[in-house]
Amino acid sequence: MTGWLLPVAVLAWIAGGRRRGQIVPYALGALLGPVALLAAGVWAPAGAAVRSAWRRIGSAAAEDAVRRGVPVLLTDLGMAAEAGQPLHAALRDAADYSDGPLAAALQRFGSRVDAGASVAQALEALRRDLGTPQTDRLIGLLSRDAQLGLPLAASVARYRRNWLSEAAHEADRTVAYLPYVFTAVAGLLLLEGIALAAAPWLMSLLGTL
Amino acid sequence: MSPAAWIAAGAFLAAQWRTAGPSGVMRTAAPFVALVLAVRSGLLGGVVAAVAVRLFEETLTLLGRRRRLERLRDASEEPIQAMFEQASLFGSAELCALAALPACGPRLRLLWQRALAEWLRGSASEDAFRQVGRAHGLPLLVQLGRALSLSRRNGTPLARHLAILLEDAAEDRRRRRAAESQTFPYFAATAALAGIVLAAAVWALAAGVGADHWIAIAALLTAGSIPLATARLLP
Repeated sequence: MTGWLLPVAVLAWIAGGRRRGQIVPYALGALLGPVALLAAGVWAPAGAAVRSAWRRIGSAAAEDAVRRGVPVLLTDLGMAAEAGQPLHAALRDAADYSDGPLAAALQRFGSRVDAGASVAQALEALRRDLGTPQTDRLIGLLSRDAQLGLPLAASVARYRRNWLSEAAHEADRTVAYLPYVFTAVAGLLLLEGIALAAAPWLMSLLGTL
Repeated sequence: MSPAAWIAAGAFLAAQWRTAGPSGVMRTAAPFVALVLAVRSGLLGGVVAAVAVRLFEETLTLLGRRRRLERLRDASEEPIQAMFEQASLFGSAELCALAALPACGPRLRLLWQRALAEWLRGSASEDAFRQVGRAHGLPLLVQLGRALSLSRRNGTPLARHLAILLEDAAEDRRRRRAAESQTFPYFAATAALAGIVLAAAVWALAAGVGADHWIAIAALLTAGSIPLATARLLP
């Protein structure tokens, strides 16, 4: 029943203000009814699909926020290493200078260390918390270097360079397709402009025929 | 409209342009455009035109805000560079920050002064710069707070921390610029074309040509929404 309300309302609204003889609004109204019914019929499965897609978008956004925060974190770790802080203290302090999911994960790391977990255990939990392949590798390497007793400043500087060059490659891949997208969009707009300019002429041509 | 009314409207919009830029003009003009189109071509045309002009204005606002933030971010490197240069002359970080004040641009100077005032009033250096940096989306100021805090707590020379900070900031800036130069010209051309199509569609609807009514409405919707959607693709 509700499926019909929208098309009827749209039809009444459009028909009220339009010139007679214009068939498009009526055809649109007649089309909208079955479309709305169909939408109501598939709402339950479609709703589940939408919710799952929404969750995927949410987790992708969180991963993206973590990836964007890592260069700042590495600068921070570089400065902390220069001051002679060990990895776990540097990571714990970095929570105050990060944002979003990265800051939350670093705060949880600090709480675990404060609660008595070993640094290796807390780093493993941080790796799981961040959950992206890139941060997985980075935390793994930093943890290994700390266990081997390698100087943190040198490790951080090396991994920051690697991270940035990988990020640059990824950004290049993403940026490479954008000119095509913009060209396609501009083509669509150009077609619309042409249609807009040619419409009166076309209609008068149709009228003479 | 009479010529005097056209001139008055033009003068009013020019004044808007001077005070609030193109997005201000669109914000002012949108209700009038919607009203004229609602009278000339029906309610649907008016509503769609209002939505389309609003979306286009939102694109301009978004780009303006983004550009201002980028400029401020780049400008925030200058006082840190000055601090780095002064760090070998002055032993005190407060003096370095004070000496870096002339290197700030007009907008950054206010923020820098605010952070400095907080700091000198007794709040810890990291809190003052971190809060100002967070509030205005300037990660370099947040990290400057971290550098000051590390230097104060561990007694390490400030210049060593600032060197790392400046090196990383320069690399980030280079990457951002490279990505922007590859995409922004395409976006600007698309947005300009969308603006022309939007204006043409408004003109067609206002002229009251019945046959291309639906084409004009479709053009309004796409020309209004496409720039906003594509602006979010920009790196």
